Amino acid sequence: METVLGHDEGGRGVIERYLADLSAQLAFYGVRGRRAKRVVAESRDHLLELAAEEGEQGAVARFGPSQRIAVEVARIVQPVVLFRSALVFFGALALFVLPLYAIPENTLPPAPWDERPGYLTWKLYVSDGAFGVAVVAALVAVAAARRRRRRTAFVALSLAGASLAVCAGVGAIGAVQWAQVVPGSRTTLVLTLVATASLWCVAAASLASAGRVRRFPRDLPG
Amino acid sequence: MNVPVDALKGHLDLVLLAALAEGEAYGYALIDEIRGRSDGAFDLAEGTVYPALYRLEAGGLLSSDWTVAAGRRRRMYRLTKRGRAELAKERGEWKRFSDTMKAVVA
Repeated sequence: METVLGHDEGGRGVIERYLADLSAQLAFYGVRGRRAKRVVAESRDHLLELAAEEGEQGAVARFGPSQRIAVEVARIVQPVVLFRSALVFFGALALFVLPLYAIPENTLPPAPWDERPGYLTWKLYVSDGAFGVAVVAALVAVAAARRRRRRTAFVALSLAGASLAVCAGVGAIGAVQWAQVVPGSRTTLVLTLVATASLWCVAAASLASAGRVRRFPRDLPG
Repeated sequence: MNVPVDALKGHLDLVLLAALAEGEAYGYALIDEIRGRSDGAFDLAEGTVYPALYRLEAGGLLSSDWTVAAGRRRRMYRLTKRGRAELAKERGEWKRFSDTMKAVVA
């Protein structure tokens, strides 16, 4: 008779190893938290019951490849997560309008020039333009995720994240250069740099969401 | 003789809804019921049934909760009102399809 509680050299049972793999696969495909715990808990219950009849190896074989299960679960969960990510991303962008534009506009000391230097002007335009692209792309991502158009949502989220990274990068350099030539703008500079750093985090989060969408394999193991 | 898994794929939702028509069940018992009703012909990779159950639940056709029976915690699934209506509809469609196929192929 096959052993019910088979263990590897590390002392973990076959079922526990399978569940650890399932858990990792779920996380890889973006299923985390409460949902992942439920899938693992139900799988554990099922496998233990099956193991009483067929042994741990047999139970795992009958249950099927963990990657297939993780992908199938992610296909159900992903549209909801994607829509929520896109919505949070868009909301975060709206919040940044205040520290990035309204506060500097109203608190910066008067500039000591009649015509703004070209090296600051182009950075301002690029930063503003990239922010605008990010907002529009985020809106497209929200709409696509709502309609479960995964590919469009992926492209839009990637574009939004990349645009935001450009906006934050160019904006940060511009803010530092501005502070060097305009006396008394240090506080505003600090605020702007904090906002820019946060923007990078938001950009990274949106790219990570897009990355999770992209991880779906076309051919699954049988 | 086992039915090929691919042949069953398109009908898995109907099979699960029909298996739950008699009353609530947890995953393992549900698969056992399906295997029994099909005389062992529907031999699924058992883990793949759970995503189908989650999909049906997300669609409002099933509801589920954790219960403790004989000292074991189990997630019990049952048909919702919408699930019963969907089952009736899909059964009708299946019968029409099955009758037509019989007339053409047999």
